[in-house]
Amino acid sequence: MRRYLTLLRIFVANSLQLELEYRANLLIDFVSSLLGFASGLVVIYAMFSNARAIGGWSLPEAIALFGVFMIFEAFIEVFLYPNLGKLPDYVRTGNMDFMLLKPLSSQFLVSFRYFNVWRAPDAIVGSALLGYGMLQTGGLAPVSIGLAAIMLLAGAVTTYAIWCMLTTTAFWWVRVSNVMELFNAFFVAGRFPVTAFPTWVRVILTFIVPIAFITTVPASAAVGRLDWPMALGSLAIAAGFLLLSHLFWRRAVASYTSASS
Amino acid sequence: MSGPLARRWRLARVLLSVTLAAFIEYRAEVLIWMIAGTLPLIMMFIWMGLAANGPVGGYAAADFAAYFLLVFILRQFTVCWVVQPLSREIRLGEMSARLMRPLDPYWTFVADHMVALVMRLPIVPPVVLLGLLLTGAFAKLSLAALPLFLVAIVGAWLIRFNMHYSLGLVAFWTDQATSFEGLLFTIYMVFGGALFPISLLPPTAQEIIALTPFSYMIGFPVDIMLGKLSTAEMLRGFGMQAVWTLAFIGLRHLTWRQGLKRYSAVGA
Repeated sequence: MRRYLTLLRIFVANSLQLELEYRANLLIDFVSSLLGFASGLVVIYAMFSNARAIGGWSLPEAIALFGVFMIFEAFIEVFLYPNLGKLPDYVRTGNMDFMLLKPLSSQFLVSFRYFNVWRAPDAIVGSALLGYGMLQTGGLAPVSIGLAAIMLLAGAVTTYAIWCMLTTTAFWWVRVSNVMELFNAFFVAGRFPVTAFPTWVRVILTFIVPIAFITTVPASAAVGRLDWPMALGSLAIAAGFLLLSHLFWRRAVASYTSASS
Repeated sequence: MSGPLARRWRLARVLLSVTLAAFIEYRAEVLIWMIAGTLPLIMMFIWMGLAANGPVGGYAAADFAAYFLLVFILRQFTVCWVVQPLSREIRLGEMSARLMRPLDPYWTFVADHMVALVMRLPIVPPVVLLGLLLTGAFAKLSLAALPLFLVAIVGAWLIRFNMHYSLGLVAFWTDQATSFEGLLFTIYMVFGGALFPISLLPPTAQEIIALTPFSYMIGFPVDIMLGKLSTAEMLRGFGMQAVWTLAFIGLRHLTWRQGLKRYSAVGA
């Protein structure tokens, strides 16, 4: 465990060094964050200038939820795209060999090698929106902050596990360099409360692709709307999906035959 | 057929059959991109929910359904990913191989995108039709406007493709072309009207947005099919589409010529 933490520190430092070569990115990514933030708020403005609530959520609650959505967007851009996003290419080109040769958990190495730090500001903006939403509703009580943090963590684990399982399919299907975009097809729904959707869509977003547990539940915890079944469900889903992703990974690696002829 | 015309016809056929073969090899990826474009449908559900207890800004639930299903068509049939491969080939010097061929690389990329559209034909229209019937929004369409709608889609495609092609060519000068694409996409989605109808915004904002190319890439064709535009508004819209198409074709030619000079100077 100590060894893995040390390695993680080295990987972060190394990514930072790599990224510092491309400083021009900083400005563009900053403007990009700002625009994403503005466009999200414009959509919320367009909705609330015509309605008093979305799926029973008030304006400050919807802003808090959008904050959570931005935090997860940042999580995906900083951690998931630079690492798991490359997995299908590793498999197709045979570079996966080098991952397996290292005396480390291959899942760890494929998941936590690179960090796109420039997208981290999105998470800060998202947290600010979340904080604003909390101030306007129940206030910044330590209990809600703690609960929200735990639910965010559970959501992050679930998101990671889904990404990991999706990209792992590349071991069998090979030509699916964009398979993680399937997650986005559902994730874009996460900027709105799950209660705003028709029942059948809500069922899909809760039980099949658990987007509801990723964004709606942490935001609920922050603004004091959380009920215990959803909170416990979120923890159970995070644990279950993580275990499943690990088992899936092991089967996939066992069937890997490299890319040379 | 005379010589040059026959040559062009042969070129087009070869080009399309080669790209079709490549696409069939990558059909899973094409299908995934198709499925990943759900955002207009998500927005449709949200807006229909908001309009469940009465119209919002003049739109009843069925109006929103028709609007966003048409947005979905526009998003699917003006799909454009040219910035990534174009800028990569320029950066890595792979463009040299393409320059040896007796054909502007532009047409190879056009063929790529055409095949992607053809592959969407058997899937997207039936899905939209089903959606229109299920939401009771079919009656909201102005069927007589269908030919004009199709023309407007072609216009939307031309603006979008030439805009993105010009952006991809920026790779001759800087390796940041792909980062700009993200910025452009956000503006395109909001100003185009993919997240909400622009007519929900204050009039001043609408007027400003109508001057940008973005409203002619989604909102304008959609409004034609919904029968929302008068003849004068339609003429003005097609005029703007023509102006922006010519502007971006011009920009593309300019960046291509200037970029090539630079490319040969650097050498690959």
